[in-house]
Amino acid sequence: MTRFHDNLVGKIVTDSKPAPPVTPALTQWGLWLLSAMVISGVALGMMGMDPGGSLMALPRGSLYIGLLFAGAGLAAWEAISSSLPGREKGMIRKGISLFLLVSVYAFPFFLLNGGCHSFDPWKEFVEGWACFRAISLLGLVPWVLLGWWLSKNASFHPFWSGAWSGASAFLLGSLTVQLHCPNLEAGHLWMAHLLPVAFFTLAAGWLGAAWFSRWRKKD
Amino acid sequence: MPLAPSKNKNSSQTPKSPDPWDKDQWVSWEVLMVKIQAGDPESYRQFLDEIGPVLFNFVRRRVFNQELVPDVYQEVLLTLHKARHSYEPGRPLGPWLFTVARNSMLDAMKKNRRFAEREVPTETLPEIIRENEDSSLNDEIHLALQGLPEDNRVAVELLKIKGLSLEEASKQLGISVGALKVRAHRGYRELRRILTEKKP
Repeated sequence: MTRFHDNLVGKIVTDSKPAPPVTPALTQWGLWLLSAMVISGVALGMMGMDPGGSLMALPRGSLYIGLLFAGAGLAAWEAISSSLPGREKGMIRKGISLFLLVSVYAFPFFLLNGGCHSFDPWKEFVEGWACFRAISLLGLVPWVLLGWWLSKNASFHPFWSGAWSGASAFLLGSLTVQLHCPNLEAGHLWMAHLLPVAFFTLAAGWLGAAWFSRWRKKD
Repeated sequence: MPLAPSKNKNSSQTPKSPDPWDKDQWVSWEVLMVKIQAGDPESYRQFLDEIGPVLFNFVRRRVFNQELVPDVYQEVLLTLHKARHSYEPGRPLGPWLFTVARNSMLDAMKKNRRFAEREVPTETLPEIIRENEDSSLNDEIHLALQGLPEDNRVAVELLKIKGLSLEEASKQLGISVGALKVRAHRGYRELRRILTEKKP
């Protein structure tokens, strides 16, 4: 066993090159948050906020916006910490994050006054296609940015790193569009604002499973 | 691997075994990790020699099939090497180290399970190839051997031509018996394919 260990150590040490440490997790998160706010600000500047201010006029409108923002920020933190060994936390923290995301989906129906008079999923999807497309495009840039950072880490849970990064980026896109879109019907919010978040969360997880495990195949 | 503590307590030359419960030990390893990230090979060697017994025991206690322990331990060290950039200086080393060890151990065991489902290394190996009376090896087999990847060729030569036992051959190559069986099995399979293709 000693000879086996010595041979192995000899090979590893011969191969050793400098490996600069990753940017600290808090710094990664802070930088991403800053860039997310800049991207949102620029997008909102181009699209313009809802002139009627219908969301903010609702008693819980600001709460919903806060929920979207908190969800995006927490999902970004989950993405970063899941990609750094020793940073992953236990089930309680993950449970809180999941609860927050479920709340985002429940909120339009239970707590926004827009209500849901009749729900035709396909009709809502077709009529809300412009919002769906806007969120998909707006989420791409923060997603690529976050993905670039995560690829420099060392994720042992590449699917989850990808999924959380998708959830974060597209929640941010949803938040930006939410401030612009005057339609507060629950059906519209689900099919046009939140469905792209769910779709891209899964897609990002699937892509992340391949992309964020590349570091293990490097020599 | 560091030596076991000498019974002569007055000996000043006895190297100190790493104590994973000693906080100062972990602080010194954290310092070494920073040097490793800077590319210092001597610090790297010292770190791996000191952390080796800790990781080996970690693996040994969790792997049911003891024959797999060296392969899993190797996988753990190699993954540690690839992930060394992900340790954040200033943070505790323990959670990082054992997360890397646990996850790479689980992946190594999954790979071995998949291997066991697809390939069955035989316990009883074919008879040793006897050399002809004039000491010339069958040319066809010799040529076929040259067509094998080096790892497989050496395994077959040690076992079938030199007639070493599994333990002797594995010691000579510095690999586990299980890994040797895998190499030899693949070598036989490839030899069979080469020799079958050559037949009219």
